[in-house]
Amino acid sequence: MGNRHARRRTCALAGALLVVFSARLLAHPMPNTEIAISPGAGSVVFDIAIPEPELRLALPPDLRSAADLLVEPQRSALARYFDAHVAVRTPAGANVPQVVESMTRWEAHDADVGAYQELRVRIVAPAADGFDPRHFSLHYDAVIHQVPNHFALVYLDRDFHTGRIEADLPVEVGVIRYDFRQDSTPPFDVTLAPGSAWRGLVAAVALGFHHVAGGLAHLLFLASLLIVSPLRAIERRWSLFQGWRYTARRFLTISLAFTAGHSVSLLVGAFAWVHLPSVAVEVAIALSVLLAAIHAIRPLFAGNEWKIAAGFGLVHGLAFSETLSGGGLDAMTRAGVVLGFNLGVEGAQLVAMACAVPLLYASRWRGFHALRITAMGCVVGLALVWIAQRAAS
Amino acid sequence: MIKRYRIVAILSLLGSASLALAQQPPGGGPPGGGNPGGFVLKLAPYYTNKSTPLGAVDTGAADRACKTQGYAKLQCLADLLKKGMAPALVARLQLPYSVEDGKKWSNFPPLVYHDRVGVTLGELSAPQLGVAKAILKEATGIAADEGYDEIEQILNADDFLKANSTQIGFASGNFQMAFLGTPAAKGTWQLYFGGHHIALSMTYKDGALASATPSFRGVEPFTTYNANGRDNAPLAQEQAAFAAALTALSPAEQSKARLPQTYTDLIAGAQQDDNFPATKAGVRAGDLSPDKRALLIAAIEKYVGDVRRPDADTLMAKYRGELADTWLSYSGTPSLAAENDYLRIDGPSLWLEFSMQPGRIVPGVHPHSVWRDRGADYGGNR
Repeated sequence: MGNRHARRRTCALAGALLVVFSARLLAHPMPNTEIAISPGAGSVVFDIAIPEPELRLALPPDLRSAADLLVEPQRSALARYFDAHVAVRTPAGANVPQVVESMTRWEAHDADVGAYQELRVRIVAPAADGFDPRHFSLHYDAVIHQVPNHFALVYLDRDFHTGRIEADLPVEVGVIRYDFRQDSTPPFDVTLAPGSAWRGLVAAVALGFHHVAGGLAHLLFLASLLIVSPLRAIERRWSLFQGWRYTARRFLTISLAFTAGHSVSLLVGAFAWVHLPSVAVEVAIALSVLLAAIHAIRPLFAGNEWKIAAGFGLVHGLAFSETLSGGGLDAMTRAGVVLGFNLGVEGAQLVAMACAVPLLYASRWRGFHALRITAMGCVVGLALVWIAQRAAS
Repeated sequence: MIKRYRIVAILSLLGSASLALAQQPPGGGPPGGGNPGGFVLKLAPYYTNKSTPLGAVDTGAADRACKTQGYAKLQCLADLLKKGMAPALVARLQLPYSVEDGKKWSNFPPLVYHDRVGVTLGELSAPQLGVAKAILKEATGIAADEGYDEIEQILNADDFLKANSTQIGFASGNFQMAFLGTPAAKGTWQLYFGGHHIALSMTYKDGALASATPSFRGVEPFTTYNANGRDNAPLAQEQAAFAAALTALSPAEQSKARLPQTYTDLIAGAQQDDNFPATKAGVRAGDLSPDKRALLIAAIEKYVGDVRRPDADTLMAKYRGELADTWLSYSGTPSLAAENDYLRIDGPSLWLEFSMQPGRIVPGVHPHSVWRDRGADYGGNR
């Protein structure tokens, strides 16, 4: 994966109290707070995960004992708590007004303490005059002000401008901890390596291209649908070549329908937090390959290939969006990622389609029947193996 | 005919779509993504997960081979352990002196903390285990429930957890011993022994004990547990001594000693060297009555007593001399029996912390505690 190098490059964070741990040294004396930073075009998203039992210890007594922190009036009080204990400042010391965008509860797991309830708080520091999302200081002491042994690990999550766009393990960049020698929680200075929107777009295109080029299931699904584009179903059997006009029309309709399908679900997946379990999506994709390959042996839905292409295109798009899911990218940056990623997907699809053209030409010959059935038989077998494997995982 | 296939196609599409939707987690995906602090849940091969009950180990041969006393015996035992040991094992037991390696201790089991140095007890033969046990006894003393006996019981706790949990990595055989620097008449070296809930750091310089800290002790379960053929309660005496010192305080002294913050763990624990507050908090021992000071001294002795005499006496004399300027503070309740109960003794040199935490494997509570010395940790080397 090329993005591994990109990740190395982008974690060039520097700061006054910035300690870079090796991942192996990561140790939780108890579940601690984790802050994932995602710098955007002008704004910064902070995804903060706090163990609820530790948070409650730090809240005012009336809030501490409330049954549910996420219903009113506790919810507003909690938002005010974060307003009081989180501040983003420019290097010059100017306060950047931030917004508590969402608060949700999540079941977390830790090797030492087992399962526990975790609150996930998303705070956004929106674009503002003089605010550089790559150079600021984070004044954070939620929980820590009252439970001084508690600490917050800080991670760099998505960073479009340096090409860190994939859903992957964030890179740990430091820790916010109470300093007993100073008797305070020092601000955490964030200085990110410079980047550009162009770099992010290029990374998104490359990611999309590699995702399809390296994803045999996507290619085989499309190939299985396209292989019958020159053919006509006559009495439950496939004919031979039906002419270039006929072929071109069907070839383009199927391709475009697939593009439309995966573009829509990619967009929805990337923006609307439609998060499907990847196992289910992977199984559905394997099923789509199976169905398309069977159809290419014996017509099942002749003339309606485009509907299947569009319908299962939606499923394939969900798998794409899985790659981009999570992380706090602002809308503009996310749009850039989706655009670039889709361009890459189209590029790979075009290359695959170009490779398929000689095959279409071969459909003039009688031997094409045997070729098609053998090839598609193999695809059916492969799809069945995938279904079994993916369902078992 | 065509219609039927269309139905099949639509059904399978709907089927896979509903399968996908049915498995969707409630409330949609987390905005924060996956688990950023994910652990590598894998143990190095020298963690054999074997039980090596030290109580059953015979030190007779080691004692006969090293008949001297004190440091000479320790040096003799260290040489004896290395003699005849496989070179690959010696290479992990005998390391160059380095404070950096000395700092590689933790309260965590090896599944969570991976950087400890040394050979594991599980790798040692029966005679070698005898020597290792003799080393621990020589370094930490033989009083009941203190020193070596306390260590044996904390190791037994891991065998108890091994028998009562599915998590791997708990086992007395997973505890490690290392010599940082060569045990000799001249020069500096540190005896390291540690594992889950234990860190022993004894630094020797030119044949004398230079430091017995940092020294970490914790145990789960905290209630008396039967393991390896005996009842164990290694830190019950420590908790009782601390609670006695706190409950003896008058209400006014208690309110002065109470810290405004909440502590769910130690602040000067593993990898938090020199994390001492700039100003001392609580009540000053010099302002307490002699009987209350005596209770404080008794509590301190529970930790300093994990060092073999007469070294323990030397250390106690130092801490007694600094007692007037030693501060006592706590958070939670003075009985130190409930979750988040916390105690701190902070002197010019002495640093003691005790933190009661929820049980991680066994329901109830379990303590962590650390003894440090502001000037002498790791032999005063940094």
